[in-house]
Amino acid sequence: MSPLPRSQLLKGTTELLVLSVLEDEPCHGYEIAQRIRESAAGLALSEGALYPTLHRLERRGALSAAWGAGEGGPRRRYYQLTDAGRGQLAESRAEWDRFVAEVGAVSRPRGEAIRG
Amino acid sequence: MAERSLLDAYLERLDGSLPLTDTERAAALEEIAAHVADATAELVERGLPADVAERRALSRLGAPERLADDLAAAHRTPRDLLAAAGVGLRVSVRAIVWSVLVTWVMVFVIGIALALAWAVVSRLVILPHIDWTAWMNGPLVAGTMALAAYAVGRSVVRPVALAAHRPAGHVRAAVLVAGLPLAAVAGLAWIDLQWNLVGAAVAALLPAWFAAGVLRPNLLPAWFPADRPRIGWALIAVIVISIAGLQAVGAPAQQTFDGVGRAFDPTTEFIAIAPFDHFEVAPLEASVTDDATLDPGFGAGTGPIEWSQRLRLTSATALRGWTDLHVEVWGADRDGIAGPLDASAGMVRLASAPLTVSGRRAAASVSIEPLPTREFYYLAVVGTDPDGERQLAAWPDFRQWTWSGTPLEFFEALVR
Repeated sequence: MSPLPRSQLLKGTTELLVLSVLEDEPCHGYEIAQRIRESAAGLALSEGALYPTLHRLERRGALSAAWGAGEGGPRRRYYQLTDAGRGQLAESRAEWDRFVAEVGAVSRPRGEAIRG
Repeated sequence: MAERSLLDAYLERLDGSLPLTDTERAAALEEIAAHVADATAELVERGLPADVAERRALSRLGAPERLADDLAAAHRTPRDLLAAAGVGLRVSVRAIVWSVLVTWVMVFVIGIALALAWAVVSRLVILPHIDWTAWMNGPLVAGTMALAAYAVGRSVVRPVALAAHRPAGHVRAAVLVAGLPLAAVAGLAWIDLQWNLVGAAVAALLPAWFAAGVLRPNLLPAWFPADRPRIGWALIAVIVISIAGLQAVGAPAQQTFDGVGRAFDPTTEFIAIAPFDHFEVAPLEASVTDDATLDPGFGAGTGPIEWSQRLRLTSATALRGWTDLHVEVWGADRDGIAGPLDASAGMVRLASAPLTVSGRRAAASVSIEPLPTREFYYLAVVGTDPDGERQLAAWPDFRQWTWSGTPLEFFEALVR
């Protein structure tokens, strides 16, 4: 039996990843994809899923967007975290931590001590 | 011709599948184009040929239709379906109004053009009369409804898809389910309202016209039914200018008739002409060619109405052998129109005057004393035919009278 595909695991975390990247400064779409790739080479975020996620977060009020000059190329749409977005990021992180802990508690081999 | 880049082709497919407003769509396309440019530049920097780099950058975005679906889903809200229903209703009403307006303006303009040509030709030869009334009441109206159904079908899908943030392909089925029964009801209602075989056939096909609009929106030119209101207003301006122009250059009307032998019996024949309101609006005025003085209170006023008219025969031999030709004017009040038009029903012969014939020209003058209760005046040319029988030579009947006045008068006479 094949292990869990990473794309399935990533599916529910795309919003968390995007919000996390935007925590420090505004970025355009390609930058976001790049930073996720640079932070964790294994997290090959589907670029096709990136823009729907950005648009959904923007419509939900978690992000604001504005056009800005590109680096010698076409203009880019820069996304920025709003206050609501920061709140969502905090909640998502806490939820993710709980999720990882719970999944780990169940999936870890019996008898293995949890080193803290 | 420059070859289209892969990016252009991708963006075109994305554009065609993206159910977003124009502004949202333009922004999304620009954003995706910038993303592909960045990704391609990075891959080229790593040593890939430009075309390979662009292809790989695009493949990372996935199929444009899938991306379009996902972007549309990101824009959906729970209120989208309600908004889509509202948009569908608004667009349908607008399409119906504009398509009917544009169709009738076109009919009018074409009618004016035909009438103009007809008027010119009829000065040279006597043309057979075409009774447009049946067409106006039947297939033309049903045809206009069919065009309206097509216009609604072709106009409604895209705005509803945009409002619902769903692909047009998904919306078509819903539009058909909602619209086909309505189109069928409209067609049946029209058939019930105004039975006419050809018109009924056209109206019965309203659902098919609607479905054609939904599924094959490119059968008619893109401007129908005036998606751009300027075109509609321009057509209305054309009709107004046409009327004004024709009125400005209008010339007095003339009438022609052919001799049709029919037993003349006013007590029955007037029943036959009762539906023809050819002369309902002051026949003496409508047929004036010269020497007429019209009473200002025609139909209810006082004083004689002097009427003089020149007529033209269809041929020099049309009334050969006829004797005792004269014109009779009969009057009736409005109530008399509904029932038998004989003396007992209020039909009165008001005047008679001899008709003089010279070649193809005939002329008559008559003076009548308008009666206060008379609102309708009927005209008949009667005489004794070569067999010695008293006959109706001409009648204010569409089949026997042809207008050759101004194009507008002619067109009005045709459609009246």
